[in-house]
Amino acid sequence: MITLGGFVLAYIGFVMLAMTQSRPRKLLCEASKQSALRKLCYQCSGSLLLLCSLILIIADEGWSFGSIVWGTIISLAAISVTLTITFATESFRKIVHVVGL
Amino acid sequence: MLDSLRSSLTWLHTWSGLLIGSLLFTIFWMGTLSVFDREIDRWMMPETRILMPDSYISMDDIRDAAADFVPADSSRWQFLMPSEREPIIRMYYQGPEIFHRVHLDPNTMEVVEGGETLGATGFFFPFHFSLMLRWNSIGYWLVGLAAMAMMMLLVSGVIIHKKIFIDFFTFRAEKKLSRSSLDLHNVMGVLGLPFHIMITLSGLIIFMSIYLPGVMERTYSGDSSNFTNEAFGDFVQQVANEPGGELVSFETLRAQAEAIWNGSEVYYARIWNQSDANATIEMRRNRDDAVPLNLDLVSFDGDSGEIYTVHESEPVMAAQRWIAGFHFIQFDHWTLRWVYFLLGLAGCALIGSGFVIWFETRRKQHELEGKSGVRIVESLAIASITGIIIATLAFLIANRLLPADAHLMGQSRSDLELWIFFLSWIATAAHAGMRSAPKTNAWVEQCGTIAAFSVVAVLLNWITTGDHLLSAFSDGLWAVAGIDLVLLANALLAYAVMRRLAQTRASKISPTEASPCQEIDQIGTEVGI
Repeated sequence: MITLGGFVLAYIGFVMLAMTQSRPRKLLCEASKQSALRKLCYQCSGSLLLLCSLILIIADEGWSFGSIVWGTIISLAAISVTLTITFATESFRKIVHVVGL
Repeated sequence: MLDSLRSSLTWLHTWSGLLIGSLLFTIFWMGTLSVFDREIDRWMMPETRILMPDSYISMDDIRDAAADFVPADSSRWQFLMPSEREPIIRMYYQGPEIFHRVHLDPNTMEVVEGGETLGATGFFFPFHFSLMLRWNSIGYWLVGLAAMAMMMLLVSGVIIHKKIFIDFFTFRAEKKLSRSSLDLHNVMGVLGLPFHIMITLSGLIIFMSIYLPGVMERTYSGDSSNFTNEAFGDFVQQVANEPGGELVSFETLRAQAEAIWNGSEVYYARIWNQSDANATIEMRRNRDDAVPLNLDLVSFDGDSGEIYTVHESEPVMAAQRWIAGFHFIQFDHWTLRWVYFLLGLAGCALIGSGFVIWFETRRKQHELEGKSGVRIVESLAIASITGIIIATLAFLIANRLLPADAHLMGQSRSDLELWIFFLSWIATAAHAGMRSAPKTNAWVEQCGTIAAFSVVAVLLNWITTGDHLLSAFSDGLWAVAGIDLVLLANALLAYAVMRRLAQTRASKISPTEASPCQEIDQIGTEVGI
């Protein structure tokens, strides 16, 4: 369950990072341009969420298992973000609109 | 050397990927299946679909049961204790001519009879690292070469990727095949990079003694047995050539070994020269609860129970065992097992999409110039990608269709399963060669075959064992239910790909379709052709 939590944090973290890039942003937002400050906020919060996911998983699994779990689930989370943007664009767009990203 | 580093690396990436791609896909595919090798074994060996007993399993009971069939003069026999993933006692013994494998039911200590098969532990797993080519370790060397090439492909791929950050989350699936394949290749390669690098590097490190024998020979003055004794703790007493007494109680030795390991359990025992006065018994420590594939063992005198050696890895070897443990994933961690499986499939997608980029970006040009390169490479790709998947499914289907006592022209049942695997693979290659011409579509036909074979395998499991999906779930046979579910998911995916490819083909031959040349030219520039 904690690992799932770590995955969700990493997933949201990568969504934040995706929102700083022009192509995903163009797909998901009406306004594809964003201010430098806003971009920095997304980058910082995305990185922070990835760090939180690392801390959560290491705390739960220990360094030996935790480093492998985190090192692999971040790949899976990033691939999942890419596939969600590609195959569930409309649903994703609505969520982005509601959350106000 | 071309005009820039990027051009040179693009050339290297393209052509080495093409040359070694088929072998790499085979290794990745078999490695991915090996993540669930014991679960596939339960599917292929229905007689071993046993629930773990709640009661304590005595090693002395196992010894007594083995006495009924292991020859008294056997030079070696060994067994693995049952576990959640493998709820049977897997035993091997040296017979007069060959090494035998038998399974014992831990509830009754009776030999479990069933159709002879190598299963996934006996075929998919060793095929992954040796290609079943044992002569002069040639298979290991080919796999090592492929692993080195994979490392080079990963590093060069990162360097030549011009828009690595811009394209980080980009997969344009609705675009032309050449574009969507390039996106897929980039996504799977870049986002899965840590796993791909670690799994490839760890694979090379595991077989360090094969790939770098000179280091061991120089360090140990040409005597490799000194290396294996020191690194792996191998210890067997010299044969006395005098009859020994009855073997000491295994339970006493087990208690001693577990006390040395602070309660960590014995998972494996090996008995050398059991009828000799100098019999040796080896107990090995469980590997479920930690990443390192530990080599901790205690060797005892078979007659007196006296401890001969207690082996624990030294720091360098302990580091090697952590890396080996990372690769072999023998520890008890279901989340990681599934993550490895999915990332292994991502590796397969990475290699497969690399092939597609190569021939899709050259197809028009080769058609105009009358070259046959695209057709040859596409046939190779079809045989390597869909072909090996069909061969794997044929192997599973053969396992369910062959009678328990099947044999033909001196070939045993497990040999026949292997023949069916390799013949099916050759057949898919022949089909790809004949049907990859412009107006035919081997991809579509082979994807359809994968979908059909997957469903047939699930149905045959039901018909021949009675364990359909619902009954497997209700009986707690999670391994069987899981394999059936993955086969059904595979059928759905193959069907979806078949539909997409058929639609693409239909639109390609439509006269109203605009020429895709412009976009392909742009992709060609991106991939450096």
